[in-house]
Amino acid sequence: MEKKKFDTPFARKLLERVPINYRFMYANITEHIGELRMREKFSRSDKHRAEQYLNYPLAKPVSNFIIRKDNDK
Amino acid sequence: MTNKQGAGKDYFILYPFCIPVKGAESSVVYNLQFGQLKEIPNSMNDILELLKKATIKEVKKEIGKASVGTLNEYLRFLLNEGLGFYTNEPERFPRMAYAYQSPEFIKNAVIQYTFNQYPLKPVIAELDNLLCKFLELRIVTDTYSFDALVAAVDYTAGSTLRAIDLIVKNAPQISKEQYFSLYERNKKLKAIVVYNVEEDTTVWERGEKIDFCKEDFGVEAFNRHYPRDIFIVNPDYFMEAQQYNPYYNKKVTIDEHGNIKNCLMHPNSFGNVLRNSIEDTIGKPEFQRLWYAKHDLIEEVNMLATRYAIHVSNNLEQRADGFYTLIK
Repeated sequence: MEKKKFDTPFARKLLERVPINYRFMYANITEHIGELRMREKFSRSDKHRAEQYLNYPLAKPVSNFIIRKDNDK
Repeated sequence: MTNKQGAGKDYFILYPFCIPVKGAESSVVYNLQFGQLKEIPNSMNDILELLKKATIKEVKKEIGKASVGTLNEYLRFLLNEGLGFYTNEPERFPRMAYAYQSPEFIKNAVIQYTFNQYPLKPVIAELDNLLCKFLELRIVTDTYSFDALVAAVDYTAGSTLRAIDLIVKNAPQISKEQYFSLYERNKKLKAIVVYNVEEDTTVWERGEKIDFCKEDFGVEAFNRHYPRDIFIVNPDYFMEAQQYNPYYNKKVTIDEHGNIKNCLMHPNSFGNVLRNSIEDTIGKPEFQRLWYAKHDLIEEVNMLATRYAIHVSNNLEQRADGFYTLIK
């Protein structure tokens, strides 16, 4: 069976000293994680009189336009 | 007994967030919590229909001895996939209400802008009054100054918008650093895409990312239909698609001449921002006609089990019987 390779964010020496679960934590690119795509959590809305107006992406595409990477085409 | 987990339990039901939808050739279970689709045969969908009202024992009796093995296999599959569970109290797990309501008059807008055909500020102000939440701003000219771009984006500060996608044609006089400074300036900006550059790159700086694309989107990409092989699986989209056309519903687009349209790819417009208010234009029944063209009413789409997960950006033609056909 092929062993799954984890791209660990921890140094090897540190991993030897911490509980084994840390070996299964892996780093992932932010853009691949939907929840982390919003760079700023809050903005401002004058109508809502809110300085902490929640930003979030739409649950569907805004338009027909989409960028597809070459290997996705 | 089908397996150990089902011991002593009379019913098998799907989780409320797992919704089976029947198509002409096969069915699909929408797992709205995990954003996944699971294809199942139509015969399994029929069994699930029976299991909604009857106990497993009653269903076995109804389908006959010869099909009991298949039923057991189906239940094992649904259990292993995490789509359903055994229970004695199905009434404690009511199905989700198929309702969709949103307070905005316009939810998302697409604006194509060239800086000289119409003023952007009053357009953004009108969208703000309509409680618009999402904007795709396309700058389709390369003859603009950085200050003009900053001013255009600044109009959105303090608006009801929750996220903005900025797609700009590369202007040789603007540097990458300037695009990043724009990113830092406006907190509503979700993404910046600069097109018509020399090389495809994604540049990261201080945790921010800007995509630079070689392709001139104005030639083809802006007029390309949304791909059918990308599925959108979430409760919001699923519920909206039950009642409305999720592509057109509460959307307004404004082309580079200020024409107000349902979609930028359409030839027909319903007004112009220089002469008409957006509020009056979107209030017209003919403008809202496509909002109600739900996928169940579109020929070629209504037979697909994935019809509540696809984004159909084609123009539609209404037939005399109330159904719609796709204009390719």
